[in-house]
Amino acid sequence: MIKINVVARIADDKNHFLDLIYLLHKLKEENINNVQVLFIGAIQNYGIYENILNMANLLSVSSQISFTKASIRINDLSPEIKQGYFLHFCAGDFIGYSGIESINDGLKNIFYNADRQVHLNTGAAAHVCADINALIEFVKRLAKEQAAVDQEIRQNSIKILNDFALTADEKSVLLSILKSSK
Amino acid sequence: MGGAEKLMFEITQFARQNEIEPTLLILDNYNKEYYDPIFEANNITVIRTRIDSFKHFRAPAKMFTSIYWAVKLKYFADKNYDSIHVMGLYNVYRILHRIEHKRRFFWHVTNNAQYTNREYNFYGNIFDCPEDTIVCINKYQVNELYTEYSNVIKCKISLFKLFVA
Repeated sequence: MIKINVVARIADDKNHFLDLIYLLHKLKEENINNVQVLFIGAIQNYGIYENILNMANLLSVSSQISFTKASIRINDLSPEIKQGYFLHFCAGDFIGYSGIESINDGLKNIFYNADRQVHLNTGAAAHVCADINALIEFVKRLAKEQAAVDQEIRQNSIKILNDFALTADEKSVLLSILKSSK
Repeated sequence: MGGAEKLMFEITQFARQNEIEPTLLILDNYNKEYYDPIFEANNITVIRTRIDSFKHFRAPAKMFTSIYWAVKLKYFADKNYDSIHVMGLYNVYRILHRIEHKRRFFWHVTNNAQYTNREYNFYGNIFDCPEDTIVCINKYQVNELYTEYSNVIKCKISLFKLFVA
């Protein structure tokens, strides 16, 4: 079983949830039915929540989704949930602090460019699934060769952590922003 | 922590590592949040007050605190602080004419995909002052700002990556 966790309030500023329903649908078409999606977060917009349920029902993947219906701190999640894959919505190849914290918590992370107006060069941003098709292919690979993909995820995590460290030049720039030279 | 709070935390951490003493000003919200003790544990002074309206007769201490900070930031910020930083362009209007300083940095922490019709709803006057700098944290924001506000941008726009201090 592949368990994908999406940590996000069900709200209109994070509204890429139907992408996950589409993912389950496309996987099901290829007879990959062992994928579960758990939405972790408070439901702030019930219209969006109902849309997720309706679309899941239409595409016959209702049994593969579940909701916590409340925001839960990562530390308070059960060990079973923490063993799953944490999917992060990205704008292009930009990874925010939630991704870093998730890596630091030792979780396995999938980064997905949910912004359809940003077209990523997959070579330059291999740590991010460039679009929905790339995400589908990624999960298909995960279903086939989980150990190898887990290893890729670990390597990506190291690269991402390194990207967040400041170089000497960057420290100098930041210092010049904070501190007056007078 | 949310992303904006985390960025503020990392900036203050970096400041402390470099012998800068940051003061964290939280406007219009007197309720302590979960992150207050985190900042305080790192020796960051946290001030919660208002600087736009002083009428708080039932709580004179709060009223005098407001007056103190409003005057200090309007007339003496340049003397007391090396720089002023605002988290989120959606917050800039709160200080635009109330904290006067030659080195103001407005950190941009959202993308337009988070807004209805992919249109930001910032007040145009936050881009007015050529001495101010908007600091974007990803390259997409730079394009988004120039696309939507090209006619009104007079301030500097720069890019600095998200970081862990």
